Amino acid sequence: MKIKSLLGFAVLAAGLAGATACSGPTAQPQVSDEQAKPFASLGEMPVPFEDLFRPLAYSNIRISPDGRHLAAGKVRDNGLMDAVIIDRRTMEITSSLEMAGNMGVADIRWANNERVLFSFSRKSALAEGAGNFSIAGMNVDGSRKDVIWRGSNDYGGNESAMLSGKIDDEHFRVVVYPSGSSTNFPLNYIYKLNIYTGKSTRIARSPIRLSQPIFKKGEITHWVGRLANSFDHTVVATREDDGGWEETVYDNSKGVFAPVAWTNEDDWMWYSDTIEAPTKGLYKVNVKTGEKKLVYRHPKVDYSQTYSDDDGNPWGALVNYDYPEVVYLDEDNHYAKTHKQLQGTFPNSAIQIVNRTADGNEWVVHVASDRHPGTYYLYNQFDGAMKELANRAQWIDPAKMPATHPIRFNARDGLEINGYITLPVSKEAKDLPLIVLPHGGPHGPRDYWTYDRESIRFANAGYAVMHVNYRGSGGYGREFLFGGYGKWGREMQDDLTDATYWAIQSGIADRERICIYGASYGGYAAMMGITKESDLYKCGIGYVGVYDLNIFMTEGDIPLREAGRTYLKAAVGTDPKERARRSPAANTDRIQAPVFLIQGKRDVRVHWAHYEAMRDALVAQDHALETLVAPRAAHGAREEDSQLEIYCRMIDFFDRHIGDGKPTDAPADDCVPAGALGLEYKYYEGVKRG
Amino acid sequence: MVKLLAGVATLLLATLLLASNALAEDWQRPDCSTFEEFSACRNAERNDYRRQKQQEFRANGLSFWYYERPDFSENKVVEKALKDKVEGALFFSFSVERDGSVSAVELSKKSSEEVAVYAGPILAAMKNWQFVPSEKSWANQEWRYQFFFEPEQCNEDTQEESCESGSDSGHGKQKSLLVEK
Repeated sequence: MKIKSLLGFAVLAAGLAGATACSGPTAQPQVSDEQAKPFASLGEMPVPFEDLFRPLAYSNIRISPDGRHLAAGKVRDNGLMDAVIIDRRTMEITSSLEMAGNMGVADIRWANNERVLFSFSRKSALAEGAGNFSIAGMNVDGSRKDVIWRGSNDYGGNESAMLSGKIDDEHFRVVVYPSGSSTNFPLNYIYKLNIYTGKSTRIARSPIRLSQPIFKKGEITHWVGRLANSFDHTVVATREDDGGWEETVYDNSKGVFAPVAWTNEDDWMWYSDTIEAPTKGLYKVNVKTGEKKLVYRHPKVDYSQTYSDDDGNPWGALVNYDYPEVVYLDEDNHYAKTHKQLQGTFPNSAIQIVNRTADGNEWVVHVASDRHPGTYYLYNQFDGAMKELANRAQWIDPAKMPATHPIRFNARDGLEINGYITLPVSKEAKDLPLIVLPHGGPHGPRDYWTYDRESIRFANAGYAVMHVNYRGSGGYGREFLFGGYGKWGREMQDDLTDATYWAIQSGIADRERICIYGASYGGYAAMMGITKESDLYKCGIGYVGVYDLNIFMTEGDIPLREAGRTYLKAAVGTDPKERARRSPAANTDRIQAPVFLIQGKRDVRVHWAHYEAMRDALVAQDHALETLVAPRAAHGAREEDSQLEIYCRMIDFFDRHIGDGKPTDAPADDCVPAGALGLEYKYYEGVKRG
Repeated sequence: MVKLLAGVATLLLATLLLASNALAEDWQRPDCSTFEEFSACRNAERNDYRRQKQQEFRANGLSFWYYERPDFSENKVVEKALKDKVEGALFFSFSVERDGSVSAVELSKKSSEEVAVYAGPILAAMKNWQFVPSEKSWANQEWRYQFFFEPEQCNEDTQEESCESGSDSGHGKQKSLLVEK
């Protein structure tokens, strides 16, 4: 009986994997020779193509304070997600909460031993991706299942909310992020939410926009947010004795000194600083005397986050210079000691302590790597044992997965540039076909050493994939970040070119088999790459890309806000002629490489007009062109069927230009998943190819 | 070789049983004099024993999956015993089946008749323990629970036995109690 129960969990996971596989092409009824099996034309891959698109089986596993239950998000056969409570002893699901259209459990909090709170993201009826958010509660016995907070989308936005802290056994604080009007950043609200009845009372409204509160003993002492008309100014509002707020404004390009949290000592706060040095430093500050103590700063990169114990004391900082590394700020801290021990057990992995029982005896730990999206373990501090709780992707064998390696080189002006290269398995890292994959953003985001689905999908098809944290990316300090402003199509582009030459000179890439592909800003960089370096890249793919910097100034949601207009002027310049010179759509005559454009019809971030401008300019020149339009997608397709088709068509495109095929080969005709309607694909005939 | 190992195991078990018999018969409250806080002493005793036992199990190939704490609430007899600060030690024997479940859970030794009042909730909790399944079953395992309370602060007027010189018999008036929560 009990062995059945305990193994039931393993069976559960295996059963889930089996069930999902059944919905995929591998389990379809036998088809006749005339009917092509979807994706067969892509050929054999180390990991079946569809397996890299399957939603992860579990999310956010949390152990209850008394250690008797686990709460988790568990995916259904149709890809939607339920919230479940699992009996810790038998590992059987004792109760579940199924919500129509729920596509993700974003957060789980145990309110007490009896009740769990789940934050859901819900599928939008209008477009691919998430719609509004809601918070639901459920007791461990399955009773009192209720949606206790529901985000409004009455005014066309997607209001979201975050559980921010426990007030008492019946109430939590909820920070609500209204979607805001199209012309302004929103002011945030804080509600006191009864976790049983859902009754909520507004207790605060932020005095500044897009801000985060800082609490001391339940009272808000600071808000850290943004200036209404700028993306790049930080405002710190400090509560004054009379209840008013004193505001300090920082220009992010010159440095910010902002509070993070209170320490457990009176008058002392944690601050982050980029004034004293370009990279982010963590300080302990006495707010009465002004005394400052530097706790940690990396010379090259910003720390990504800090980890704190139950008393709010930071014990570690996550640093992503090349591989992710946790730097221990307090070696004697119990969390730090445990993390160090766990890191020793899983040396080439990213270890995250998720939560633990109230007595600190049992800990839920998440272990992930570049080759596996993660497994939850239960760590027992008494015998030091790590026991597997749930493998989030049991169908993935890390040995068959491509590995990712950090790279570093100096750009032509000497600036150090970092990135990552993912290499196909069972192939020597020599003369490989290469896909250069610049990230979107561009200012703020960066790439990391992680399980990157996109790189893995291409590397699994036999390509080396290189991510480059070009200047202007986030994470390398304010000088590196702001050093990219105004450098679109110039130094930022040259960093990608230099990275490509680095890959050639290091012998990894075959000079004659290199393509560039990216989404959003990455789409711009891909198209600028084939425009500016017309004989370096053999093909280019732009996905929801910015192709015309003058259109960028007037269309889409960025220029709707004053802050957006200010940003655009700083990022892409004020001279229309110069912007045209740096726009791929205005320079298609310089492009030699075949082009594949992919666009979401409902994209408001990068307007449809970019796609039209680029497409029409290429068509006018009888350029080798293919297009794919996702009718319900906005800034990127989110649904599995859409993604399967998009990546199948991209891999097919790469195969014909830098893979085993020929540019004159017909495109794949088996990229539409079984049962899907298919996206709008067009292969432009009558043009010169190859 | 196997026979020899079995012999060593039997000898070890016999030694442990003798030791626990002796401990049960001559039980004394743990020495908390090196701790600043009594609660810290109580926690350390509890955690050290559990750590030692679990490590011992694990070294032998037996690993805990789920340890359930005894629930002493809503049991009037036990609540009275806690209120009266009844002290002592209880030793339980149990077996672990191949599927990791626990069977044959019994109270094997006790330091006094009075302390046996706590046995009910402990037996109920232990029956819910779950180990990681293994290739064999494990008979005659042992677990100990101790109940001890902070001694009354002594002053000149105190007439209690526990305040007599050198006394650590565990029969004095107590200030707080041990309840695993």
